[in-house]
Amino acid sequence: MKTVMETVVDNPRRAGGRWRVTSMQVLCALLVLAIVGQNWLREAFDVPALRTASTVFVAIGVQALPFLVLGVLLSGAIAAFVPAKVLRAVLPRRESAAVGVAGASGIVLAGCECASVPVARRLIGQGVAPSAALAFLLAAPAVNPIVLVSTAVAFPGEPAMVLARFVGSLATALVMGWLWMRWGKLEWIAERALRRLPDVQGRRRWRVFAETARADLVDAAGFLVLGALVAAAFGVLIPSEWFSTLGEQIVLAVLVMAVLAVVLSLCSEADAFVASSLSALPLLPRLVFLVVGPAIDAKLFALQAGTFGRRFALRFAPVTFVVAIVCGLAAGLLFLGGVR
Amino acid sequence: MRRETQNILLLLLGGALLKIAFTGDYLRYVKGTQLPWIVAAGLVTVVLAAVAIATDVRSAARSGANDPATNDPATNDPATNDPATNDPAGTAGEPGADTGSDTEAEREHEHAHSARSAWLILAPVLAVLLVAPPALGADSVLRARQNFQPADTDFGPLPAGEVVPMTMTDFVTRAGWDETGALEGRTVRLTGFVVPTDDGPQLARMVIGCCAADAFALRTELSGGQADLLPADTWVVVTGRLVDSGDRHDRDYVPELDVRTLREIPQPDDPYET
Repeated sequence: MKTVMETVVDNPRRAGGRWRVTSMQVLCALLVLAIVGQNWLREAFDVPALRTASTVFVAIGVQALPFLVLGVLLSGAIAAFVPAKVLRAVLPRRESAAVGVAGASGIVLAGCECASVPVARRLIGQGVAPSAALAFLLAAPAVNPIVLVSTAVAFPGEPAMVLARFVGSLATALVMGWLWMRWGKLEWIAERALRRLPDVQGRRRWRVFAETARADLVDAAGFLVLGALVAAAFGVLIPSEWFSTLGEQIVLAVLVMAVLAVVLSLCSEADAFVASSLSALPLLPRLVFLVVGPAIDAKLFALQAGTFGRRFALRFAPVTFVVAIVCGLAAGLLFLGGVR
Repeated sequence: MRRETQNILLLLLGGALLKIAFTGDYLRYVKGTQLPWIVAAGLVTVVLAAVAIATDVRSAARSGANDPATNDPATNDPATNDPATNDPAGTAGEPGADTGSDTEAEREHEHAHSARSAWLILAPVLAVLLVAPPALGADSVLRARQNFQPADTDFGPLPAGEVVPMTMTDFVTRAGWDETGALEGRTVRLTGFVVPTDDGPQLARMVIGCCAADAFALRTELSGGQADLLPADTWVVVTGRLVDSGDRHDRDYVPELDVRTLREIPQPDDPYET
């Protein structure tokens, strides 16, 4: 598809009278093919494992899209209505303090991880230090009130779990922000994510708002779909014995739960319920699961790669993974008082 | 990818969200409280695409009336390559406006970075509109090995009555962890689907916290022979009594129900327990 799409020229006249294929024609052809082949498609998906995977795929998409839409609306609103100088005035001048403020402000954006990616990108575009925007990116999905309340509901006898999750996630965000400040390089971030929109006035603001939100949605939705595909495939491929035979081996349990948090790509508002149902495991690996999941997972990696570029995601995601495990363990030892 | 193609994809995506919201199919994928979010997201997606299409058509008509050449330098700044930056007013020349200009070809090129990923939007659209994946069923149940311990094991007394209607969550957790023995000698009514296994038929129900990705299964064995020949994923209402069968841990906390009556039903609107 790539070769067709990238070599086409839409204007037939420019192509010297030769007729070329446009993306619109490809889309129409695909739709017609799909409709004609509907029965074949349905039969092809009528295999139990594939049926389960396709349900999980659609479920992740349907569950995450509203948050992504919220995120692109916020991104559009920042682009159109919050001039860069206002953002600069709000955040502390010292970068290390700005990281702290940005991380803590994640408490107010009550969304899941998909919402924070377009917002963080727009913050960078509007001149906020990348370290601060990335701290916000990691904190927002994990420390907001909805996530904390659902964690409290999922672990009714363990209030320390809520505190440990809050501290572990916030620490992950701040540490990543400070790490970026020290070692991060601006050229890792794709040029398109750094582009600043000019400040505008009056009615034009609404145009900028709608156009920014639309463009962000197109950019991000495809990557969300990619992440959902990967997560659905793993959901079917990972044997459930992984969960139940790990109770005794704490190191392995922590690692497996961290990996599971990445591949399952659960919504940060629901992962506490999954963690609480894994009662065969001690609390510590389950806490790591809750700290790692909102910081980095398959769909988030796809979204980051699409928004900030692959060079960024390949460096940022693995470090986030390690930092989140360490912060989760530290918070667990501190607040849960050990493995439990 | 052309801007128009992107907009059509967004229209399809928003339309697919609205479709599952209005037909009630969304309950196969997420829990019921998500409905307003899905409707809002569908509407916003459709509106964003519609606004873009409307401004494009209007500006095309307007600049089509003028000399197209006067429009191009302003709308085709090579220093930037985002439509919003390019032209905040949304007056970018569109096909009708720029016959003979480079704008359209460049736009296709400019969006090369999103061209490939945006095609993926078609995947969930086709899945929802054409394949319509069913609610999770027997296949998911067989992937999970045991019933999980509930967060809350503090049980009150059962309500009075000859037959007690119960959720699978309630029944399985009480059978496994209720020390008061409230289920002894009581007839209960359960709703779920049939899962044939090597050890005989089971009744199961999926429980979701947020969406089908985090679903886990609750199940109970069905003894008494009435469910033996039913195919997988047949929805039934059964009444019966818990069989006390010794150490529950050895049986992965899967209780056994001695079936008194069994009736086939269509799949409920909401196939999951939350």
